[in-house]
Amino acid sequence: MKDGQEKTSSFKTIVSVLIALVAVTGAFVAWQSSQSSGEASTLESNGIKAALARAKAEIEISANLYRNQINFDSYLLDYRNAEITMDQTTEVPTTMIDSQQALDQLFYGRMESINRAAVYRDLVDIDYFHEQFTSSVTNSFFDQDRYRQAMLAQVATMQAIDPQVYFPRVDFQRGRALDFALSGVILSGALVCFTLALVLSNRWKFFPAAMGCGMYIFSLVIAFAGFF
Amino acid sequence: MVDKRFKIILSLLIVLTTFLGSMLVFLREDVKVQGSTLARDSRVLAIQSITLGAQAYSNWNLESDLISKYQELSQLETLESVLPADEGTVNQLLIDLTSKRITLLKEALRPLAQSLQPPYFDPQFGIFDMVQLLVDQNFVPATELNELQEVKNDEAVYRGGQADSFLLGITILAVSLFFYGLSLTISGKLRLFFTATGVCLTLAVVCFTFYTMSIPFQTPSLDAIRLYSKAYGQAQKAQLYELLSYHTSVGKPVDEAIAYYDQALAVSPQYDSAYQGRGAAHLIKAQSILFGSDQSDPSRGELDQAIADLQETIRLGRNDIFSFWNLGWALYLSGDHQGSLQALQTALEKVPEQRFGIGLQISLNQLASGQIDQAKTTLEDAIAWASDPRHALSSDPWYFKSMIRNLYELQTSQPAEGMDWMEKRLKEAFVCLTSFQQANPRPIEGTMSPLVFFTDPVYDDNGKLIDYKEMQDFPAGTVEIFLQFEYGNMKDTYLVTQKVYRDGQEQTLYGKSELWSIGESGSGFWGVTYPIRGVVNRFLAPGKYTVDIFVEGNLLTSGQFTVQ
Repeated sequence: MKDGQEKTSSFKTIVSVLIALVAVTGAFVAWQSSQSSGEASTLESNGIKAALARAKAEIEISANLYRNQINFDSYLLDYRNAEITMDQTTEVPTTMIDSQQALDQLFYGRMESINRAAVYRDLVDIDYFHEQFTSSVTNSFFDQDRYRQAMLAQVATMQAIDPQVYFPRVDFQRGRALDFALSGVILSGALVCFTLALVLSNRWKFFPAAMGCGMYIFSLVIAFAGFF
Repeated sequence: MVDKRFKIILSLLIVLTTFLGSMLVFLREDVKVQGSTLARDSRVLAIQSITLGAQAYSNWNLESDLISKYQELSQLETLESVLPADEGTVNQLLIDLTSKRITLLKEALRPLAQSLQPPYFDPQFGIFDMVQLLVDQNFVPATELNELQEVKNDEAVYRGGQADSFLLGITILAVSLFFYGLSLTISGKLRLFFTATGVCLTLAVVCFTFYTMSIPFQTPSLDAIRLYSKAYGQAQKAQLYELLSYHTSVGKPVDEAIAYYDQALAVSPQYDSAYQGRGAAHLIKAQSILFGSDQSDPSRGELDQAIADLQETIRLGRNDIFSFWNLGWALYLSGDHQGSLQALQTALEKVPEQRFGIGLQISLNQLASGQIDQAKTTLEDAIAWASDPRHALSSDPWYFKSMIRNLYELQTSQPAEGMDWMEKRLKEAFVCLTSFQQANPRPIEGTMSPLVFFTDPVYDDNGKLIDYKEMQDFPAGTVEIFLQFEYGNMKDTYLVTQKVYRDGQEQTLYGKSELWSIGESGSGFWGVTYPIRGVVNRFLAPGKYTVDIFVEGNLLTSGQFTVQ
């Protein structure tokens, strides 16, 4: 009888220790959950800042791109005008009275166009200007895609502009916080089982105690998984 | 023994409640995480939408610039074709070479602009559809982003609400724990009462939690959002044509818009934005039929559809100003003035800053209901609100122009006593606000006779008009129309404003405002023509024109003519 009482007493002691462990672990997972949530908030804020920086950069690049393209278009038209005018000098019949007057007009027109084209050409960012000297100016183009990419890359060397660097980490931290919260729920389940084990006096008490142990271990696994 | 068993039960209740509490904490954390992620996505989409808008407008400017260059070349091409030159001369040769050069330059220009390529450009007639380009490049993608952003935001708000509900549950569970704790410390029947109360509260929380989790959040599918965006783009195009009084051009885009809205609603039947958009599209169509044909009956079906869709929008919870304002206008056009008034007053309650725009509509309603004195008071209140510089947001010229246009059209299709007065008052208030930043005309003594329109003027050697051909109906392709009037008691300090309307829509191109400078009395003649002299190929668009002349803000004389 005395042996039985001692066994019950040591069982209760073990379960009490386990309850205390559950409580301490619960406090730990709550702390970790809060840490992860805080980390997620900071990262999210950085991600939004990056998204805003990218938007600002893209808008500025678009405006500059527009300026470049409009100057390029003007250059192309004036240069093309000069090309056509040059070709048209052969269409002036030499037999015509005042043919020299016509040729002079075409010459001055060409000079006007070519000089206007030069002004516009100077205003275009030359690094992205593609021209083929062997063919007509109409084969030239301003490389918008490359300009956009290069400008974005340039901005990226000075500040973070890619929110996707942060957002997966935000999701990870939030998932971790959630894992800790789940671990907390399972720990409270273990607490219920241990309390039941303390309340029951017959041999059925071992079943909830074992279940509580299982839940405790499971919650530890979930909590540790959160670290990886 | 009973006491011990009671305490055991209580202990179990406490740990069970704690377990429930931790589950609620977990559920709250879960929906909070979902809500935060959705809110973040919503913010990023908003940023993307702003970026897209800015980029689209940069691109639009680029396209506009290229179109201007193309039009400049076309204008020069026309000029070259009308310049006189003798065959075989140097002049003729240079004109021919210039024409060829222009043609080649136009060819060089075309690959640079999207608006100069199909489907936005018809090379056969040289017509380009810049509106469709704007719809495709800006309206549709921006609307898609905005809708996605709104859906994410709505869901984030919904998850936030769920998190709040779970927090309430946790608080109630804490109260239950307090009751259980109290039951452990006291004895007698009271402890049973406290325990029972704690159990009831715990059960209530369980039920409430299940209820909260069982309410689904209804969100339109991505396909529905895409269809909605396409519909919205076409509806915007239709609305633009309707505002410019090109009634016959409204049909195609508005029908496309309605078809897209139908498809969006087939995919997501509870999509409130699609109902709102479809209602607005039917309203645009009804208005274009009504104003285009001047008959009420053909627009009836469209109006009924518009009213049904807008009422459904409100029933689904989208009870914003646009739903009520559009509903008010649809009900007005369908003849339900009382219902319209109610809807407009609800719209005004929602956004009191719109007292000008909605005030004009309410005044129109009162006119149609025969309450002329009330209508005058409402109109003056609305104009007074618009005159206040603090209310710039609601005194947009767009409201003046659209209501003046609507009043012009309604006087033919759905006339009511007092509409002519309202039109005159609005026109005067608009001119006065623009010219002297106050809503009332200044007192004058000047007079002007009704306007006489003519063409082919003949002048004497001193530049005096000696003969002309008086007309009311001018042929297609008319470039310039003259107007003549007799005047008296005019002073050189008077500000005189000419406004020209085509089918009720103000044509700002032909308007002018200047100080009077041709003496106290006599005969004056002005022109309705492109503002720059010597320009070729600038015809007056077909339509019914009204010319108004305001002196110091007073509408002194007016006249009408038609261009075929």
